[in-house]
Amino acid sequence: MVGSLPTLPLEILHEIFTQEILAGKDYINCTLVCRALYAVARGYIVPNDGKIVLRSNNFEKSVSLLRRLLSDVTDFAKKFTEVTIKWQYKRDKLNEEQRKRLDWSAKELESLEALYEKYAFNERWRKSINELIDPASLLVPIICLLDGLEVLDMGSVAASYEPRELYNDSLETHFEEWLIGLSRRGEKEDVADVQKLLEGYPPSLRGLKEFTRGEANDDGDGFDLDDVTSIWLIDGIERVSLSVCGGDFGCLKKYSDEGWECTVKEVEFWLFECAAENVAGFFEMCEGLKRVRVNLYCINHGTIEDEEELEEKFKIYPMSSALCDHHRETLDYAQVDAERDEWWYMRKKGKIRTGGKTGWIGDGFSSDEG
Amino acid sequence: MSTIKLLSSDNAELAVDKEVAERSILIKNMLEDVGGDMSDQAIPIPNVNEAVLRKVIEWCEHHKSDPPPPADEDSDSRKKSTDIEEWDQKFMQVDQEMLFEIILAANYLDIKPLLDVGCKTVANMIKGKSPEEIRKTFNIQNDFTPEEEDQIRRENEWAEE
Repeated sequence: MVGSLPTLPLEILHEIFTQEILAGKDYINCTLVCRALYAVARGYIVPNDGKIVLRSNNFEKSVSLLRRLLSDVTDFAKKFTEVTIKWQYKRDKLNEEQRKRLDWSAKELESLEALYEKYAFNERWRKSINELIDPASLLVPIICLLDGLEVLDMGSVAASYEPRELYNDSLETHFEEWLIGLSRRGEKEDVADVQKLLEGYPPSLRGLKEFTRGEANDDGDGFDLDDVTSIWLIDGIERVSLSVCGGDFGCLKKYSDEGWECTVKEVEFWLFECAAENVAGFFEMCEGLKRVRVNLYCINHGTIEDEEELEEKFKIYPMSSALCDHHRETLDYAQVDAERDEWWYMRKKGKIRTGGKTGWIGDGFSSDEG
Repeated sequence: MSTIKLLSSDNAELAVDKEVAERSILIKNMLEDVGGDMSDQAIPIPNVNEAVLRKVIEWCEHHKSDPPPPADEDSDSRKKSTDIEEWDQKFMQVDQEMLFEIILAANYLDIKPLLDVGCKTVANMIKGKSPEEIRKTFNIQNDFTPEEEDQIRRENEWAEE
């Protein structure tokens, strides 16, 4: 005779839990009913459509997820395919009671140590994670463990808004530093073979297909293109979208010299401070671009002294030429332009205000070179 | 229309139309294996008692004209549907023990649509209820210590809205 729900055979309980009538909260509630239901329902607490939003300031959620990732021996980690990071206000430090509640067990610390060793975590991150100092540092091991990751949206870091309690450096001190570290290994150890370098990446990044990173700030600074060098090297990366950044792609040169080609198919650079010649050089490193959107902009790094230099730097022709020469076969759509209005207006001290921006769409040359 | 006999676990012999009985893939396969002729011999159904077998036959009779599920029916599509037909809803208005027995019988006899209706009924009884309400609904004893409950709550924090 059958007694009650928990005494049903496992296969029947799974039949019940796979009914789509049930949602995430129902599974959470079932885990709290009794041991038998906990054992089955636990496996159904997974992200919706593989997506999860991680907040940089939330100790509880990050510890909870990391704890689960460390202890779960099923394919739980593979169920996360898309991560979005939200950078938010720093919260107060944990009080003793909270810390005690969240503290790692000896076994968890052991698993973390193994992870630190495997992916060369530096001492500062280890300390921050072990002692629960900065919740943003927990994102690094979490991302390391999400083996099925395909889309990583690093969000827009609010770099300098007031109040200063904002996580104005958490990205650089933890997550981005880690990303940089992955590619810097190549520099330190003089590894020019990308495949060899990729062996040091966690599976979560090796399978990445889309990457987005932005910066939202109020003092005109952007992030450095070098910070995300490791992303371009991923074999199979298909789409990269960067916003408010600058640089010259110099970190990729040595790999390109060795015959490496970037697999990215779709790129977007918004408010991008990079000389057109360097952007063109990057296009030449790509094996086959399909969609390109470049929006050049002077991010006020203070490096450009005069408008002529700026005009020279932001010429459209080298980019359109590189796209036509190297990607004519694969390119579906391209648009490159230079955001002139603001800096022209500033340079001319308000005397002249230009009309439209210079640009080029598809495979025809437009105003500035035409 | 030919009739076959089913022998329940408590030795009750029930006559049923072959077409109705063949809603069960288990019985259908058994009949195929013996060339379809079981007219003088009852098919033993050792895991199902008379009361439950009668309910299962009632369901099969009502659904005998339903199109058979495609060979490898996409079970996901069945599970995605949240609706239960009105007749099935009434059919499933039984005490919990009978409900679970019907589910087990449907599983044993391989009657996927009936199994699905049963599981959907149970899922509906879980839906939207707190842990305490679920315990109450299904008369389940809480076998967690308060510390264990707290630990599970922490474990699930990442998934909370």
